[in-house]
Amino acid sequence: MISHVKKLSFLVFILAAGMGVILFQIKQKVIFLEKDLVLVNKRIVEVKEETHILEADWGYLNSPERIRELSKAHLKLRPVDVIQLASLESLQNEEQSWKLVRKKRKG
Amino acid sequence: MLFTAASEGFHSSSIEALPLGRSNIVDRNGVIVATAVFTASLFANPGEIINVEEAAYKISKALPSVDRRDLLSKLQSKRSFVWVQRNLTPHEQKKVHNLGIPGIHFQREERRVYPHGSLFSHILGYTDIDNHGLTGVEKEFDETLRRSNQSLELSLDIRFQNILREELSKGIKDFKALGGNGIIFDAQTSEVLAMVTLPDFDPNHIEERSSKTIFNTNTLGVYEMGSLYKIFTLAMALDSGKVTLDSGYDASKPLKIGRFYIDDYYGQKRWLSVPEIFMYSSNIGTAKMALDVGTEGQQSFLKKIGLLDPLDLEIPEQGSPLFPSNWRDAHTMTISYGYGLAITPVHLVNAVAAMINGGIYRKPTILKKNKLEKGQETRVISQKTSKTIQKLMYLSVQQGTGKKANLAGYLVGGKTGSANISENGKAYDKKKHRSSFLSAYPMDNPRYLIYITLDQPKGNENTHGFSTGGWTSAEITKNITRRINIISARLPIDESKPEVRSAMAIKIRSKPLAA
Repeated sequence: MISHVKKLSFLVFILAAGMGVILFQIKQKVIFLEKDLVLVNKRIVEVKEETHILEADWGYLNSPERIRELSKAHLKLRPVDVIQLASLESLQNEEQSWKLVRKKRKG
Repeated sequence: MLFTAASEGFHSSSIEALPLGRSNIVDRNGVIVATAVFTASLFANPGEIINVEEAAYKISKALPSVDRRDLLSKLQSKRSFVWVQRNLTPHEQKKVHNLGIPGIHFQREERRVYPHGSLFSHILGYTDIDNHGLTGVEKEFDETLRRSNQSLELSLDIRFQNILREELSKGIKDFKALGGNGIIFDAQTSEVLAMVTLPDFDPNHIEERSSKTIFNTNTLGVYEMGSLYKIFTLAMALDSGKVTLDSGYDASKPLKIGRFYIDDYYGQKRWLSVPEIFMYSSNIGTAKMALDVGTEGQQSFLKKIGLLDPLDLEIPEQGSPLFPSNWRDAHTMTISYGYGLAITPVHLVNAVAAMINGGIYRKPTILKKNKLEKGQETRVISQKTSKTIQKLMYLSVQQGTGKKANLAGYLVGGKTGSANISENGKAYDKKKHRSSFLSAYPMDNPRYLIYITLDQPKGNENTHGFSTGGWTSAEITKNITRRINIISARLPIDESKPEVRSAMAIKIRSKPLAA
């Protein structure tokens, strides 16, 4: 007959070994995750750099001079004049806007 | 052992702290105007190279800008490190890499790039190969741009800057001028919204620059501004209480100082009231007005609007005003109508802003102002005096010499100023002149101040041969005003409406009050 003490010791031993295995697995997992983390951080830096370059490219593509040349070459638009600006109120008051247009046409 | 396996240096470094090179400089709306890109620079370790001649040949073929003989001598030297070519493009880097030559390596380097070319040249300045700022904002904020991750926000607006540069450039061409400069200024906050000097340079290609193109006329050049000073003299005299709108002076005869005579360009040959003196730009009347205020009064007034101190702007290229060391009555008179005191265009624009914005002087700035922070404000003239100046400048454009700058519907006010240039103390050369126009609108509560100067413009068919500010610079101003209103969607108002007319009305006397 195995004594209660021996039974308990055996149980505790199994538990300790089990915990050891689990702990080892967790530690392994952590090591892998930390490796992953380094790679992700590295990738973040790369993406940030790519974004930075794209922002510079975007700025260059939007340069007023370039837009002007492109619009001249491809769009059939003319520069707007102030008389063409209107507010909602002025549109409601139709007579007033016609007055302004007539004035512009005259002078 | 299970419990001693420590994490071997796998730290999650703070991503935020990693800098992306020299900080960006942006305009007031966040548009990037200066940024850093990373490039590969090619260097060699001559000791490691097996066949020096073959290496020099292959590399110079792949990189046309590298001189084969020059490279050969470098590779034959006993040094362990020589630069072959710095800042290669990715394409060039690939070509050289594919040559497979041992002993040559790439080093990651940073290079400053300006996506908008010459648009902001004088303000931004440029850096050297090692990214040290040499001029402009790049120099002034060199430390900050290197250390901090935050973008530097300028007060300038790329749209306004573009409009100014385009119209100024067109004007220089139309009037065959040598060059020109302009400023668009916020009269309420003293922020510079646009600043251009032509000819200018491309900071991406600084090897093409010359001493002429890098000169920032607006902040460094000092000039006698001619008739534009009359704005200050008038404000000074009215604010001092020594003159009123009803008082005036006899401008029928030229004024004698020493050997010289002060005379009027548009001589009316009679008594002129104070508003008339401004309208007809009378030198005689203005000089007499200044004498009544006195030399000390004039000096303290000019000092409080910043015209006697060096410019304090956030770039290193700043001009210091020139004025007489022995300032006497004769100088007081000439300075009153524009000669004897030389200031920079930024000095001028900022001081005029204080005259028309209700009377508050603020320090000019090229950095974006936080709407909440007010900064230092000093009252230099009363609100009443400021209102009078507004009305007189409005009149000058509606009925006076500034008619060409008028864009109907925007309450444009302004003043022409044509000044002859005196070089190195020699006599004023009548052929060499600078034609300026200073305008502001809407004149009942001015927001935008536009200053344009052309260097030696020539009249053309449209100006009937005239080349003064009212004919040349005023034209440019009108075009700029129109375009600014389009992009800020500012609607015109009906200036002929009675309430508008009465708000800007000013009673002008032609005869002295009965004694």
